[in-house]
Parts: sequence; structure tokens; C-alpha cells
Amino acid sequence: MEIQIAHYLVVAGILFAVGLTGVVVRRNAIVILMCLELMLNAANLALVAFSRVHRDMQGQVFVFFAITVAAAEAAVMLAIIIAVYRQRQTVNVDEMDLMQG
Amino acid sequence: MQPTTLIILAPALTVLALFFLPANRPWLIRWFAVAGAFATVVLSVTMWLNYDKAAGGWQFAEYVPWVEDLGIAWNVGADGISIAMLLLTSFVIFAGALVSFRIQDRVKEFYILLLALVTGVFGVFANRDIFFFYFSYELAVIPMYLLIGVWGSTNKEYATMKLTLYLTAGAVVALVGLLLMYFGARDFYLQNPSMLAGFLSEHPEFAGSKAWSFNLVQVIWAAQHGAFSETFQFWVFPLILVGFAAIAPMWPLHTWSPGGHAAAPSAASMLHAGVLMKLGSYGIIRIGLTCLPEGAVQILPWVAALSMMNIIYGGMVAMAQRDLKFIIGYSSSSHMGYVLLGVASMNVIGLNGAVFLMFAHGIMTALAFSLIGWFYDQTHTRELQDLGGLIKQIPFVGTAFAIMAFASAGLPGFANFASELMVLFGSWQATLPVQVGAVTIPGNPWFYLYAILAVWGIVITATYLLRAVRWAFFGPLNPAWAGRVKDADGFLWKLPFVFLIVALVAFGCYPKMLVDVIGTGVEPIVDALTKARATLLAGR
Amino acid sequence: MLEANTVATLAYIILFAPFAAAALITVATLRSKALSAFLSVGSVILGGVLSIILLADQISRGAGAEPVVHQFTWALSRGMAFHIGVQVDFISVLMSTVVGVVGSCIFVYALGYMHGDEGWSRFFAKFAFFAFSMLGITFSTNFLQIFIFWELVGVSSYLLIGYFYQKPSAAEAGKKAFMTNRIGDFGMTIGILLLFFAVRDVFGEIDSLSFETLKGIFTNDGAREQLFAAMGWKAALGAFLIFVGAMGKSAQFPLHVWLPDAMEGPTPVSALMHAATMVAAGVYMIVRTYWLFAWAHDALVAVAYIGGFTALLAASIAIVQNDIKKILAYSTLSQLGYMVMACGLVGAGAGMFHLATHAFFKALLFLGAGSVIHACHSNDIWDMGGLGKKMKQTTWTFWAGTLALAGIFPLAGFWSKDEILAVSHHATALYIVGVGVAFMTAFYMGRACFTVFHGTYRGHGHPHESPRVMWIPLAVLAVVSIFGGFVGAPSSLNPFGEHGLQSFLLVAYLKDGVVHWPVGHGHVEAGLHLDVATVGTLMALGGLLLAWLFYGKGVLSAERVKQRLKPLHTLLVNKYYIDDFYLWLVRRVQQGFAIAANWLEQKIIIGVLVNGIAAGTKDAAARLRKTASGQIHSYVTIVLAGVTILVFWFVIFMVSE
Repeated sequence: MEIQIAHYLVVAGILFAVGLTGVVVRRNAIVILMCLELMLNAANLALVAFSRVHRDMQGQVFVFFAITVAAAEAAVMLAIIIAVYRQRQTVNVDEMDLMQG
Repeated sequence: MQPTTLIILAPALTVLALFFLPANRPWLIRWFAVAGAFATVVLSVTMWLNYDKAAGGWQFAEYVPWVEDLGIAWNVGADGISIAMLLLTSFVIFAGALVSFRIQDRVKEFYILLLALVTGVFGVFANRDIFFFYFSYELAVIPMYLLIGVWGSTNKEYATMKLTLYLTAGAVVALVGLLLMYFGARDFYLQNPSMLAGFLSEHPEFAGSKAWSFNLVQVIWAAQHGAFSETFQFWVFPLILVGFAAIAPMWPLHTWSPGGHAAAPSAASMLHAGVLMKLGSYGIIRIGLTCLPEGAVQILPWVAALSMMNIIYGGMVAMAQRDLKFIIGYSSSSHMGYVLLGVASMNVIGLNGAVFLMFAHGIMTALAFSLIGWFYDQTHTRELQDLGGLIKQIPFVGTAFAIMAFASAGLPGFANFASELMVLFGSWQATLPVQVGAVTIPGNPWFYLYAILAVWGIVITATYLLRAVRWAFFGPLNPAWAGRVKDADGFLWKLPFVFLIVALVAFGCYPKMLVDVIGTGVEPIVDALTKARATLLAGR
Repeated sequence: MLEANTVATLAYIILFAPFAAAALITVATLRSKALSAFLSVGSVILGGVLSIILLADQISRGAGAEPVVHQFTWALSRGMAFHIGVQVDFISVLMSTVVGVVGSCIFVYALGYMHGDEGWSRFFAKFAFFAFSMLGITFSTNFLQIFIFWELVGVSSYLLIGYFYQKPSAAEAGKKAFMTNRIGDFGMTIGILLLFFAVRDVFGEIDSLSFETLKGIFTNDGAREQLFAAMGWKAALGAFLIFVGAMGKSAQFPLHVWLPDAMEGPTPVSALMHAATMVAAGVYMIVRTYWLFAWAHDALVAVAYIGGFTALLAASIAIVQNDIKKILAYSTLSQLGYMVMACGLVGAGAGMFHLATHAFFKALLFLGAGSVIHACHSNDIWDMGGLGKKMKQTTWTFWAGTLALAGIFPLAGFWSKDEILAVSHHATALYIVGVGVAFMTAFYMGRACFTVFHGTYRGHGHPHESPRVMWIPLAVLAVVSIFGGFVGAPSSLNPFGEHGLQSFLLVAYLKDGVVHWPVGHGHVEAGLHLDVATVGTLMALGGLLLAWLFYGKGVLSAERVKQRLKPLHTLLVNKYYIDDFYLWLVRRVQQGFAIAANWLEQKIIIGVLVNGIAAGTKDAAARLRKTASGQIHSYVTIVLAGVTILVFWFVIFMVSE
């Protein structure tokens, strides 16, 4: 069986769904962060797959950018989470509601 | 470079220079600011003296395209109405800069904001580009927020918030109207390319202008050639009216003004009541009446009715006040009623009077707030019953205050008298029919009532002002102030007051000097209004 | 006869000399008392001298000469121009002579009276400014100019009444004078507007504020009838409204209340402004614009009755006053009523004549009163008495003024009062009023004189004659008061010709001299009218005699009369409660409106509307902020739900097409 675009998309979809579920149901900030990365990478996977199909390198260029940005983002988020942990001794997002209106 | 550009640049460059001056040398900053303000006086007086009354129209004009895709240009110029307003603004800022020598706290920031504010004001009065007109208008509002918020007194947070909200909300409403006009004119020129050619051949100075343009002259030209339907004008004029009337201030949009006056520091009050409020009526005349005459003539009779609320009701409320700044604040909104009445009378003498009154009232009220500021800084009260007999202690300031009260009460010899008189004549004239070709525009009998009430308004004004003078300055001196309150002594401290009084008296004794110039700006507007009235009548 | 240009120039000099003096004093010489006084007094004396020259010129021109008018444009709008300038004719020159001569005497007197006052320079600046404003009214060429100077006179009056500003009563009196005048000016403004536009409506864009233009229209039968046909009842209304302005300035009922209070000012001010000239401005304006009143009959009737009523009202109050200045103030009111009544009875000439003579003897009386007050340090006539022996000059001059005012032959007042009674002879009711007032005038003046100058001294201190600088002006005025009336006498010696001053005055206004008044007609020959003269003189003598019986000889007791007529006395002492009524109006009604408006403003407009919108916004925000829980999960869920809905919407509506 030849691996086709549809397979990549299904994998990407599953990854995305897993990530989304994780973001919605988990309480641990680190896990939420990881799930977010998962969703991001699902998108990256889809982009690369389409790039390959359309023989257009633009999609892969996008992915490189996305990965770099995601790395920076992850660093910032981890820093924030550590800062929050130092303050509150918890990474449970349910307890982080300072922005409540 | 034309003086119109220079008069906008002068305060702007002064602001720039002030940024680089050391904050710990307040006198350097003060004198620098005064020099910048004085430059505007020189420029505005030059323009006034050199304005060619026989030619009329826009003079000292300059046109440099800027964003051509949107039709925005550096497009300045002055007509008779602008000249009067530029004179007013420069006089007030010069006096205001001098009066503010007493400010000790954050001198640098204060002067930067003050001059930034007048940059905006000059930008409005000297502009022919709707975009910059609006931009400058907003520019004038924001520094006022800070000036009151930082240096103010009496309930300043409430006052400054209310003021800013009113003015920006009004501005947004006006913006909608302005944009509708911009797009309306664009569509008109796009659909009739011959019209664009016609405009450009009549106004070769705007060569290269596209169909879309914020050029006021171009929009007015479109309006004169039927770009805006009657329905369009009927619905857009109220937007312009309400937008600018909020700052004018027309009843019932006036409540920001007395509180704002009371809270603001002297120089800010002076600019606020003296100049900022004139932006509103100027906007109505400059944009509303010229571009939307057919809408204006239908709505203005209602404005006349509302102006009665300003005059009588404002006067009545002023009569019940005990705080001097509130008295002058409500009196301002009462006087602005005369301006609106003059505008609504839709004839040359009425509009001449309205514009002249904007000038006169600006100077008079600037004088009032500068004087109140003088003794408030020392007594820390403006309540009439706490003052008393002050003229014994501060004869110069007291005398100047009495002179201000007389000017405000419409005493001959001051510009206010001449202008209010013209408004009254204009109002009465509005009751007479006007013959335009075969059409006779009937007079509006309501104006009899308005004129009579307006005359009564002068009586009311005299009542509360004389009462204020009586309680604050006459009678036995309140022992609390004996020896405590300093008079304006020395040339420097007297200068701003004397300067403003001389301006009031000079133009009051011989109003022709200014009214002639104003008239050249007013006449085309009245002609357009009269034509619109005739057209509407003939159409029915 | 002088060149027209010279005449105009002289008039401008008369007008602007006091202004220049006032300006110079204010700007430069406040510190130098001598220089300030010199400038101020000098400018007025110059005006007086030049006025006499102009008067001589007018006489040489003869009765009915064309006026010299010079004016320049003050303000201009398309189709409408306002002018200011000078109009020199007999009336204006007569008035400026009165102002100049009486003014000179009073200014000189003030040098003595104000001696040692700390506000000396300020006083003379204001006083000169008043002279300028008054002369501005005098030389006005049009309604606007007269209105401008009218207001300026009002403000100088305000400033001078409130000269002792630290005294609350003085500050209040100044304010009251200004406000009452403002109410009069309210009417006048509307009257001017009404007339101006009515004339324009008919005759197009002409200078319909100008006296000469209007006079041309009103004295031309065709034009006048055309105008009256267009105006209808508004013509009389316009004339009456203009008269309302005169009511304010000339203190006619019901706007008379300010004048007695105005006596708070220094005595020279009372003499010049509130007796001789300023209060006469209303009468002067009626005379000036008589072409208008002469044809607006309904207004004329109102003028006559208001004048007569004021004369009677004020004379009755004067009888019970104890303050010597108040007596004179009510007397002034009453005499002004007389003049106004004369004008209303088509006797503008008589009114103007009385204005001129009254200016001299009333100024004299006030200055005399000032001299007495100066000596006794009291205003109350019961603190005086027997001053005749101590103040000889003051006494004989005061008596001269009293007799002139009472109208005793051959003093000045006799001639002018005779003219007034003659014109009122046809209107019986007003004639009776006139005669009655003549009697009352003689009585209350006699009462004052006998009480102050005769009997024994009742006050404290040691009164003595005033300095020469004060009594010489008195003597000058007394001489004019005694002999001045002869200008009205029919005699070949009269400088005004055989028919006297009246011939000039009548000709100036009514070329034909006949106007039909509903109650008779006003054509009266100038000169002596034996029948009314006899009645008038008898009344005056009777009044003086009665006063002598009460207060000189003491055979009748005023106290007993007072007891007998208790209610009437209370009514008079309280000035018919008119002042109280006004006070109630101002304190309760006007202030009530103000407080109501303020309540509406603070509670409804600001409280409910403005702050209501603000509160509504805040309230909405308070509710909406609950949706921001701060929980990441809730946000994500909402976003997810939104995306889901969008996707479904897209699939159902977009893809299916």
C-alpha cells in the first residue's frame, strides 16, 4: 500500500484531536503546554504533506518558521509556568484565575 | 512657506524644542514657550493685517499632496472666519503661557502639553484638508485630558474623564459624517469625470487631484454642484451638528463644560473655554454649513430653539451657582447660545455676529479664568460667600475682573457688545422674508421670540455677573484675606490681563477692523444657505 | 456762523476731551492727584466753553436750521452698516451746554468735596468718563449710538454709585441701578430692533437707525402713512418700547426704584448724574426722537400718564422723607415725571426747557445739600437746623434753588413749569396732577428749608461754611437759577429772539407745531400764559406758606397730622411698598427659577441623564465581566464551541450549494 496524502492527514488529524482533548481536559499546565505543541505539530505535518504533494517548498518554509516560533514560545511559556510555580507552588490551571473579571 | 503653515509649526516646533530643554531650568522653559506663543501672535496679526478683503476667499494657502491614494494633503489656508479664530487662539495662548508662569509643578510637561494642544487648535483653524482637520481636532482634545487630570483641582478625575468622553464621542459622530461626505464626493467625481475636470480648471492650484480627496475645497465644490442629495444632507448634517455641538457646547450636551472649566488649571481653562469650545461652532460653520447647506437650512431652526435653552437655562443655572468658576462656566454655555443663534439666523449679520462673538467670548472668558486662577491659587476657594471685598486687597485683579464682567454682560466698548448686538440684529432679520429671484423665502416668526429672549438673556447675564462682582470684590474685606492675597504687581504679571483687555476694547471700540474680514468668509456661506433655501422652496 | 466742518470738529473735541482725560488718568496720572484733577476738570470746562460757542452759533443760524451730521462706519455687514458720529443741532447743543456748564460747576465743587479722599484720581477718572458718555448721548446721530452711550452712562453710574464699594449698601445700590436700567434697556433694544426692521421692510436697505433718515420718513406724510400701514399697532409698540429705555434712565414708574438708592454715591455724583444730566437722558431721548412719538399717539398717551403718575407718586413720598438727599432724589423723580408728562402732552419743547432749567437748580440744591452734609456729618434734616446763621452762602443759594424749583416768579423754574402747565391745560386730569405736584413740591422743599436753615441747631459738632471752592460753584448755579428762565420770556432782550427758547425747540421737532392728541392738542404759543401762571404761582406760594406754618412758625403740628393719617403715612414711608415688591420678585421669584433650573441641571440632566448613561455603562460592564472567569478551560471550550459551530455552518450552507 502506498502511503498517500490522506494517511498523513489522518495522522495529523488524530494528533490534533489528541492535543485538543488534552488542552481541554487536563489541568496540569505543563501537560497543556505539551498538548499545544502536539496541535502545532499536527498542523506542521499537514503543511509538509501538502508541500510534498504540490511540489512547492513554501509549505516547508512555513513549517521551519512555525517550529522556530514554537520553540521560542515554549521557552517563554515554560518560564511563565516556573514563575507561577514559584509564586503559588502549583501548576494547576484551575487555580490560576487572577484574570477573573 | 505661508504663515498658515508657520502658525501650525510654531507651537509644534516649540514642543519639540521643549523636549530637549533641561527640566530643572523652569524659567528657560517658560520663556521659550512664551516666545513660541508670541510667534503665533505675530503670525496671526500679520495675516489679519495682510488679508486682502477685496479678494476674500482662501488666502495664505498652501497645497502639498501627501498620501495621494487617499487624497490627503498638507492643505492649509485661511479665510475671514479662520483669521478671526487664529487671532483668538494666538491671543489666548500667549496670555495663557504668561499666566502659567505661576505653575511650579512639572513645568516642562505642562508647557509641552499646552503647546501641543494649541498646535491642534491652529491645525483645525488653518486647515482645508478634512483629514488633518479631524486629526488636529483630536490632537487638541487629548492634551486637555492630561492637563486637567494632572494639574487640575476640584473633582478633576470626574471632570477630565467626562470631558474627554464627550469630546471623543462627539468627534466620532462627526467622523462618520465626514467620511460619508468624503465618499459621497468621491462617487460624484468618479461618476462625472467632467465635473472633476471642471473643478480642476476652476482651481488650478489643486492640479493632479484625484476624485477621492479630503480637500475641503473640492468637497464644497462637489456640494455646490449637486453631489449631495437633499436626503443625504438631511441625514448627514445632524451627524456633523451633533458631533461638533458636543464641544460647542449645545444644550443638552453642555454638562462637561462647567465641570471641566472648574477643574482645569488656569491656562487650560482659558484655552478650553476660550478656544476649544470654538472648535465646535467653527466645525459646524466650516463643514456643516458649507458642504450641507440644504440639510443645514432644515435643521438650523431647531438649533435656534435649542440655543434658547443655552441662553436662558444656562443663565438661570449660572444664577444659582456659588462657585465663581461654575458661574463663568455656565455663563460660557449661555454665551455660546448666542453663537448658535447667530448661526441659525442664516443671514450675514447674524453669522458675522456669531463668528465675532466666538472671538470676543474667547478672549473674555480667557480673561475671566486667568483672573479667577490668580486669586484661587492664593485663597484656595472660589465660593462667593468666602471671598468678599477683595478689590481692596487686589485692586488690579479686581478691576480687571469687573471689566471682564462688564464685557461679558455686553457693555458697549467691548467686542462682546458689538457681536451680541449683531446676533440680535441677525435674529430679528431672520423674521423678514428674503427675495431670491422669483422665490420669496418667508421669514421665521419664531425668531421674534428668540430675539426677545436673547435680549432678556443679556439682562440675566448682568444679574449674575454683577452679583458675583458684588460679593467677591465689593463690600467689606473678608479679614481672612487681609494682607494674605497678593495683587498682580509688576509688568510681567499684569501683561496677560492687560493684553486681553486691550484686545477686547480695541475690537469693541472699532469692530469694523475685524468684522470686515469675517464678512468675507461669511458671505459665501450665507449665499449658499440662501440658495439652498430657495431651491428647497422651489422644489416643493 | 461756523463752517460745518468746524462745528463737527468742535463737537468731537467736546465729546472726546473728557474721554482722553479719563484714559490718561487711568493709564498715567493715577498717582498725581493734582494732575488728575486738572485733566478731568479742565476737560469738562473746555467742553462747557466750546458748547457755549456752539450754542451762540446755533442762535446765529436761527430756528429750524439743518443739523450738522458727521459720522463714520463703526461696524459693517453686507446690507447693514452701523455708524457713530456727531449730530449738532439746537437740541444737542443745548444739552451739551447744560452738561458742560453744570458739569463744570460740579467738577470744581468736587475738588473741595472729595478733598482728602483716597480714591481721588479714580473718582475724577470715572467722573470724566461719565461726562464723555453723557456727551455721547447728546451728540448721537442714531439709535445705536445713543444705545451705546446709554449703556456707558449706565456703567459710569454703577461705578460712581458704588464708589464707596466697601459699604454694602453702596455696592447694592450700584447693582440695583444697573439692573433696573438694564430692564429699561431690554425694552429699548427690542424697540430699536422693531423700528429698524419695520422701516427696512418698507423702504429697503436704508440707514434706518439714523435719526435724520427716520425723521425724514416720519415727517413726510406719504412715507409715514406707508410705514404705519405696514406696521399697524407695532408702531406704537416700538415707540413705547423705546420709551421703556427712557423709563429706566429717567426713573419713571415702575422703574424708578433705583434713583433714591443711587444717593449712596458721593454728592457731586448725585448732583451731576442723578439730578441734572444722566437721569434727564430719557427725556432728552424722547425729545430727540420726537418725530417718532409725535405720530405714535397711543405711545404718547402712555408717556403722558406714566410721567404724570410718577410726578405725583414721587412728590408724595418726598413729603415724608427725612434724609435731605432722599428728599431731593424724590423731588428729581417728580420733576422728571413732569418733563415726561410734558413730552407726552405734545410739549417736547416744554419738557426740554424744563430739563435745562431743572438741571441748574437741582444741581444747585444737591450741591447745597452736600455742603450742609459736609458741615453736619449727617444726612438727616432733623439733625440740622438753624444753619442759616452759620452757612450764609449755602443758605441763600439753597433758597434760590428752592424758589426756582417751586416755580416762583421770576426764577428759572417758573418759566419752564409754566410751559408744562400750559401744554397740560387741555388734558384736565393731568393738569390737575401738574398743579397738585407744584403745590406738593413747594411744600416739601419749604419743609426741608425751614427745618434745615431755620430754628435751632439740633445736631452735634460745630457746622461752618464750606470752603470757597465749594460755594463759588453754588453761587454760579444760583445766579443761573435765578435769571436763566428769562431765555423763555417773550422779550426783545432775549438772546433767543422774541419768542424765546421755545421757538427753537418747537421748530426743531414739529415744523407745523400741531399734533392732535386724543385729549386735546398741543400747539401752545411760546411765552407767558397768564392763566396757568397765576394758578401755578398761587399753588407754589400756598405750598411754601403751609410748610412755613408747619415747620417755620410751628402753628400747625406735623406730628398730629401724622397721627391722624397713620395708614397713609406708613404707606408713604414705605414708598408704597414698591421696593419690597421688587425685592420679593428678585429674592423669591427670580432666585426660585434659578434654583429650579439648577435642580433640573444637577439632578435630572447631570444626575439622571449623563451620570445615568455612565452608570448604565458601568453596570453593564459589571455584569459582562462575569463571563471572563479567568479559567483557561472555559475560554478554550468557548473557542472550541465557536469553531465547531462555524465548521458546521460552513459545511451545511457553503458546501451543500
